[in-house]
Amino acid sequence: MAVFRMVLRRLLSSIPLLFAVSALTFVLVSLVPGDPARTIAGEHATVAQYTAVRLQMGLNQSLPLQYWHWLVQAVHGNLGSSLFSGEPVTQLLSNRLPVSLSLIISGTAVSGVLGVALGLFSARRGGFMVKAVDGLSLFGLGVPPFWLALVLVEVFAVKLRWFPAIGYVSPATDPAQWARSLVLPVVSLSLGASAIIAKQTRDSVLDTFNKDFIRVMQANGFSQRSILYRHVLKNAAIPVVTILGVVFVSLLAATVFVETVFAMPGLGLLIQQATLQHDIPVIQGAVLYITLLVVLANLLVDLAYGLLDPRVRAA
Amino acid sequence: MSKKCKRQVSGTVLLRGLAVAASVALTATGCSGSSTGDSGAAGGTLTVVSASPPASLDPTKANVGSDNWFVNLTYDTLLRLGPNGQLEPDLATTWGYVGTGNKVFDLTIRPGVTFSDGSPVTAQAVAASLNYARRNGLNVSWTSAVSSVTATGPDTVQIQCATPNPDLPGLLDQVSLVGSVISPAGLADPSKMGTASYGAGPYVLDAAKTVAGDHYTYSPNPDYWDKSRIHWKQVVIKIVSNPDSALQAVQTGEADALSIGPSQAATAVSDGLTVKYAPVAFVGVNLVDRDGAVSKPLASLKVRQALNYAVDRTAIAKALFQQYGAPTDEISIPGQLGYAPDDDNQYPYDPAKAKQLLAEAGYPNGFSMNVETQQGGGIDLLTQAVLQDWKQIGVTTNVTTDTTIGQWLSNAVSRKFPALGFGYGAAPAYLLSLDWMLPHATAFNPFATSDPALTSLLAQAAAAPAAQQPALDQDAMRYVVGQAWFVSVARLDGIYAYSGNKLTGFDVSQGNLLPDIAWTIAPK
Repeated sequence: MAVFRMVLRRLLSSIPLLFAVSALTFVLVSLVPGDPARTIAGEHATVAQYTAVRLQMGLNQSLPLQYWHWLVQAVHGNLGSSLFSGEPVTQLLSNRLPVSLSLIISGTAVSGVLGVALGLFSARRGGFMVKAVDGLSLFGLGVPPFWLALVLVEVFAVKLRWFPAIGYVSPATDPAQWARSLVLPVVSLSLGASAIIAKQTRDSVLDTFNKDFIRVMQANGFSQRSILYRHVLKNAAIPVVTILGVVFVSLLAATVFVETVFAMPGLGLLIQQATLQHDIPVIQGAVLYITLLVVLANLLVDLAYGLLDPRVRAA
Repeated sequence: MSKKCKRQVSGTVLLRGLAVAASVALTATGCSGSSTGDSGAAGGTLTVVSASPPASLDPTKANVGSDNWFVNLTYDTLLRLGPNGQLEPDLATTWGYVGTGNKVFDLTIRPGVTFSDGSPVTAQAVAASLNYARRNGLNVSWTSAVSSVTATGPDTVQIQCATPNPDLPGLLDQVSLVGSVISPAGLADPSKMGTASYGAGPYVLDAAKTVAGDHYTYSPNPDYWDKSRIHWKQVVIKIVSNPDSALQAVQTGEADALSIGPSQAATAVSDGLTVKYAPVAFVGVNLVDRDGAVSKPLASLKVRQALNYAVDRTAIAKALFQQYGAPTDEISIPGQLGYAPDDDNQYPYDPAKAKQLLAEAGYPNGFSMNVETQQGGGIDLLTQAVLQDWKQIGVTTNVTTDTTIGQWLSNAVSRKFPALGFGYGAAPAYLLSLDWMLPHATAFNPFATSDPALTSLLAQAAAAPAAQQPALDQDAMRYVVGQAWFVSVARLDGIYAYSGNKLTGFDVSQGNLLPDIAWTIAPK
């Protein structure tokens, strides 16, 4: 019941956030130079045609009024239609969301598994592994996913032909091809993140090993394996879970680049295209979806805290 | 099948992307005739890459050039520009001007053709479609001379113009899109045309296999009038905005063809792809404030000429476009009405003469002005190079670089910038005049500069018989270059790379710069 109340409280508290983010996005997009009516009307349009397009799109209204109209529709579940294709925004986003989620969830999972494994290994072995993990961290942080993606495609798609260079296959169409289409994008996304997680895991594990209760357990003859997996890992996991939450959110941003390189029909690519076109309803809808994803990710992190630490549950 | 050549005409290609507005025109001979219906042997899947999604699938709202592939597959046009640049019959079997003056134009519509929704392609439907396009199309200025389109019989249509329009046949082919015939069902609810097809083309949009903005899938139209034109069981247009990724997709065989930039051509060739190219656009800096409203010096012809003499076109073209760009002073390309070979080098690079002209105009120490340009297509880089050359003669600038076409258009028509970096597709002189030379405000003539002598030359050319038109158009082009309305710098090639082992009929030539994905590209 306490968990349910916590979830409800967090969800309710996200409503003002959604409101604020949507308003801020609306203002920011309107500040960007350019005019979608001018783009739609084209370079040969007469003044009358251009004016007619502005009227039709409601761009002649004041900014607060435009936002109010969007908000009223959004509250009723209608995010409007793309100014260019005419496709309903909810339909556009629903088509794109699974692609981005596939990337982000896979990326987070691979980063988590790889990072925790490397971190544990490094904490246990020390020496060279510490340096290797530090080196990998520096490399992972220094290499932009965009560049890494291009290199991976050149090697593993163009030269070796192991994986496709572009595109996305739905798991409903072909699960094996879906997995194959995700390999290079996920590796591009995960390298930096897994390095950060590895470093965090190693530091947390070493820190926990230095705690008094671990020393007492060691003095009482508990096996190292038992101490590591039953006590150290659980205690060290909280900061790692925090980092995983951050990774999830940062991968949301990184998908813009990775989806562009791999031509994957996700939210990132949609936002890029919509921003270039000044397609305000699509930008608004996409930002709303992404804000919701961030809220959900943070909620999951909080729930994980509760599972890992009874004191959080009690609080 | 009857065959009757009516007159020399000009076809137009306008290729417009985010950065480069490009077009091509050519002279060809309009003939009548028909193709025989045959059961087409459809190959597998043709996948081509586009750098951006279409502005719309509605032929009247689609960008000519960058969106043609998306539209041409599903909408047949009245006339067809063949690979050799000749206009051929499509939904119209005969066509031509009536009388003199280029004001009345007749078409005969092919009998027995249906739209993909099953309704018949009648003269009435064609007239309604053309009337819709001329009133609502993106390129409304091209048809601004047209006063009416009427069905004069069950299979005949007449276009009447208030003022001479010598380029009507060119407007009705698959490149210009104006002649894409839309079914009555589409016209009844135009909002649906953005997401579905309402044409009489060889393919129909497969909405279930399409994800807008990512890929567009087309399947054969079972009722198409000439099944021998259907070469594929499926055509997919995949959107890949990153140029490197797009080329990699063709290298790996995931796609079959794409448009590439000059820097990618060598890679494409070394990877075994076939590369074809032909001049498609011109780029430079447009000196739009010719009356000196915001930059007084530009009102002086000597100043504008000085800005032309100051630019080392050969060096800039070579540095930016390698062998895929050629220096030019004019806004036309070979093979088009208006192109004058002797006009290509009216302003040879001569900084000393430029300084002398500036001094004679009363600006011995130069002057300063604002310039707007646009990102992409090499336009921003070219503008920067031109501005560096101007700096050598004392002309300094403040540059605003726009990142989207909408932003550029807004700034261009704002009349705040006396000079605009541009990219524009080549077009016959008549269409160029509508955007560049006639005294009404457009993005390429925002101050609506009026020059009665030029207007008179253009009017004379527009009404002239076909035989006299090329010389008159050249006179107009020579005049406007002489008046230094712009600093045109280079003409660019449109470059395509494709899998030569798989495809045939992938033609790019001076006559037709846009490979015809709907009719001629076939499996090898």
